[in-house]
Amino acid sequence: MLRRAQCLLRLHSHGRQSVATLTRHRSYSTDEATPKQNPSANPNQRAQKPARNLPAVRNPFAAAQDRTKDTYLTMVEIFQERDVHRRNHVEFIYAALKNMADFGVERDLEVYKALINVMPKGKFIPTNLFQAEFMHYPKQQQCIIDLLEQMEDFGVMPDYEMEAMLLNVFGRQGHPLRKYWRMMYWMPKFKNLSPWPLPDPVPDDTLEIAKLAVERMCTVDLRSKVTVFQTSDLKDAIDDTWIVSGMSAEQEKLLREHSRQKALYIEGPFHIWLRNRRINYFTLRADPDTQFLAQLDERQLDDDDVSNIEVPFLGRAPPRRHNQLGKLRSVHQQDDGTILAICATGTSTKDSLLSWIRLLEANGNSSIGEVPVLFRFTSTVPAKAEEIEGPASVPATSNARSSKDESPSSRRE
Amino acid sequence: MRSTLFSGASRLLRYNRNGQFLTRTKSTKATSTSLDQQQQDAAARSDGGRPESVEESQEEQQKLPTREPLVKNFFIGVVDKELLAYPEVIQREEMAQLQNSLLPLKNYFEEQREAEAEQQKPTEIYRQLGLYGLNAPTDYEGKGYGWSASLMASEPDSKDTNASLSLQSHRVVVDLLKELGTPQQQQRYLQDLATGVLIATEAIYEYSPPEEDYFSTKAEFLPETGKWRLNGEKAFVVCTPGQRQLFLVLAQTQQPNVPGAVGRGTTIFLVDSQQEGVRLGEKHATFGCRQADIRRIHFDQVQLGEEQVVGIAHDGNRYSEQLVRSSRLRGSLAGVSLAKKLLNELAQYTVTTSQCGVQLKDLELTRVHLSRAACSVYAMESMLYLTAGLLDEFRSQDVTLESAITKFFTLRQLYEIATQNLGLVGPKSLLSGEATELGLRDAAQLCTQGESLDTLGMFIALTGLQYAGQAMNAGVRKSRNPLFHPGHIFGKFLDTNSIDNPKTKMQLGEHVHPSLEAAAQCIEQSVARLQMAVELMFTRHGNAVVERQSEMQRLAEVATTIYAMWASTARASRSYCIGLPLADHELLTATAICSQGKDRVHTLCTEIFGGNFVNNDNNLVRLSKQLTKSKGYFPVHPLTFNF
Repeated sequence: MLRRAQCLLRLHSHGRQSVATLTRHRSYSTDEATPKQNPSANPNQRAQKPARNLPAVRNPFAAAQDRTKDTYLTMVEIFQERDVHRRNHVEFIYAALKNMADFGVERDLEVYKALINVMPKGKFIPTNLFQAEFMHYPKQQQCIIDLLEQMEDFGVMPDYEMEAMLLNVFGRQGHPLRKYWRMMYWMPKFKNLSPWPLPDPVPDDTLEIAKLAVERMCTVDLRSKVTVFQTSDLKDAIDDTWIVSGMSAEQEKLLREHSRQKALYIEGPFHIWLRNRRINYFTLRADPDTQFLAQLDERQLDDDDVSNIEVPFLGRAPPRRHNQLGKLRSVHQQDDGTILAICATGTSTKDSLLSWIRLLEANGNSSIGEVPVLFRFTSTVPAKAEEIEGPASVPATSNARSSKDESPSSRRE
Repeated sequence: MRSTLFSGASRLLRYNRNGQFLTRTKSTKATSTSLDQQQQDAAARSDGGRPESVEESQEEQQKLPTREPLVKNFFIGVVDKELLAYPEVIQREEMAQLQNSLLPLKNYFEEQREAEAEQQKPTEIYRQLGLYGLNAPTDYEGKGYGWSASLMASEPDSKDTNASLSLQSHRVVVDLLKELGTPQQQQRYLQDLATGVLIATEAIYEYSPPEEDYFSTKAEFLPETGKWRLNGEKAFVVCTPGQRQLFLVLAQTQQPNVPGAVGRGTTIFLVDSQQEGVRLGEKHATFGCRQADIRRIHFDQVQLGEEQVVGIAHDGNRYSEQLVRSSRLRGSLAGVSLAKKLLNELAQYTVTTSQCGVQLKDLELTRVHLSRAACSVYAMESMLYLTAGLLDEFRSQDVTLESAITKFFTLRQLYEIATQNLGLVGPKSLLSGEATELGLRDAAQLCTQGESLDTLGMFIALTGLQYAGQAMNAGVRKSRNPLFHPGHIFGKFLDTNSIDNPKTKMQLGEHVHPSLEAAAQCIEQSVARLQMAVELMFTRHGNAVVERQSEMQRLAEVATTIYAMWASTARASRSYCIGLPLADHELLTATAICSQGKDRVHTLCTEIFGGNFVNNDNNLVRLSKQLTKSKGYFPVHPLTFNF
């Protein structure tokens, strides 16, 4: 048995690169494709029924040493060739589905196809109306529906070959087919619906993910620029790490106009999730300019008064109805604060954030040097999550231990 | 009997007989169609509140009393029927003189090809011909022509678009000085300007305007020396290198003691090119008008005296009206001449060319195209001289909208004509050196010279809305708060006036030749539709209407079309009544313009009535959001697979 497995393994690794894959792809829909030719292919029907008390099948996946896609496929193949009856194949498929993540193949369409291929062709196709309506071979059908469900959960989109395979196994009236068609209606529509598409696969490097995260948050302002700083550029930085900083021209202007007397806050860490990765980020925030915001309050305007419409001369920008000086509220000026920049650092430490401020100062925001900057390492996110979902669902961050830790930065010159 | 109605001179007589200039008799009152008395009063009040110019010249006082603005009143559905009489502002004897004195100019510009060979500097010849002093007062050795006369006199030179750019710019500054300059300034500059010793030009626009201000050229007042210091640079200035020049510069200034945006203003300066710190920059490689010298000008710490400020300091925006009015009118003339030239060349081409045995002139497509172009040119010309006539005939007449519309219409139609030619002539039309190619280049250049057409459109709509807003304010407030004013709304419900079937009682047909009855009817209906559209826009958006630029662009086109119809009808009616040559075809032209204009106005007003969900604006605005987000074209390739 073991030798055979190794033998097959070699065969597989050989075939991977070349035509072998192709031929296998093709073979699914064609082999044993004629359903009614071979009605006695599975003579022992009762063998399909699992014995209630016995463990259904030995789980080969748990025992596997080398957890790769090749091993996985080999095991499926071994199962197929073990005996003509393919006894316990439903249990085998369930076991295979459960162990997919361990082998890292849960997003691989080819593997799902291999599993469907385990099913005998033609046997489960209903031959009359009653069979069709009362879910012919319910257990087998449910098994494949679960398989498709898992595909959907992982966002694996089936293809037309899979349709052909399912047709060969369950016929046009099969429930898995209905599931498949529903998937093929919705999944392509959802696939590209995200306004912030991530690369597929998502890069594994934290820096790359941080860049993606900051870029995503910066889409609120189209003029945003994402810069990657290295703390090693500074003379006396303790941490040697990277800083992904996002700031727009508008924010630079707001920072320039920020009063030198009013403090800025570095707040965080907040979380952003990219697929299944979490990134901590920090904001540079100022208190809201209440006076300015009140001035823009639309409720004070009389919309009905059309008696003084301003006309610009000489190609000036056309007027807006609110405050004719042309001052507008930017997206960064929120009611609870003005966000001046965001960043994610490699270490998320206070030192790296200090380096961030100094790097911002060195890169065209000289005014930040004259403003007191306070660290406020408090994140309301874990607390909020706890409130909503119950305790300990979101891991507390390393810095969240003292939530009122507000310390003025001792700026080193 | 009827013909006397059409002459401006007769109107003058009638006023003289009455002996009073300012009180308007019942018969001359503007006709209101759909406004209640209250709105009328509001309009009159706002009119009276306008600051009158302090002292009026002798010439001004000979003019007729100010009338209500023509096109502005269209926005509130009011027409001034008297103005359907095309103005005859140049007296018969003066006209003969004018035509005599124009002969040498015409000769020069028609035989210019040979003149160029002589290698004589054109500026010298222009000086001899007196082209620089057409509109300067006679006291300063100018010719002292009014608006209409000076436009007529500059027609010969406007045939050469390159030359006319610089000449018109000069005349604009002279116009402004005449109107706003202090006696000292006039004394100091006008003489030189009239004789062409000093050539004036506007320096207003900049290569990259700043994000926050109007101009990045800045001037500051130094109280210790009592002088201004000017810094910055201007672009797209039409220069005449080698000559002494006078630049009219608009600069950003900050009022002393008023900090921030409130104290920001613009000031108009006159800067002599010989002053220290003024430097001509590099020449722009422009698309068209390549013979004109369009340059950058640098100002580096230029010291300017108090007497070089035109008008009141920091208040330049108030005077920009006079400035743009003049430049719009004179700019349109270049457009009209170019359009006329293009049309003539095309007509010539279609007559002489035949393809496959068919003469081009016999093809229906060609004929329609030619006639469209002719209609446009006719309308342009009528508008130009109607506007100038209004300025000449009435004392400080408000022609802000009329002049803006003239330029808007002229340039748009000019460009249309120039591009249509490409289709007719084919690939040959774009070979370099071809007349069509040069025409297209110059047309495009004229479209960008000064303000852009889009801003001009916005200006037209906003000015109209500003005027209408003052008159309609009370009604709009009621319509927007229907539950507080049930009576008002009930009245609206009972109103059977609709956009498809507007009711008018203007009876414009009474004031034109009977053959133009139908045309007059078109104008009436269009004015009524415009007024309804304006009222609806106000009711729908309140003062947020200024943000609905797409609707305002439509409104601008409606107003433009109506004015074109008005001017053409007035002109055709006059021509036919006094029996000018080919006047019957003028009638036809005016009828064509009006029936096309009526349809256009109807379409546009229906679009405004439909609102942004019906007229597709909403879709476009939504699309643009994604477009900016993706920073460009967003759809993927049509052959992309998804699975």
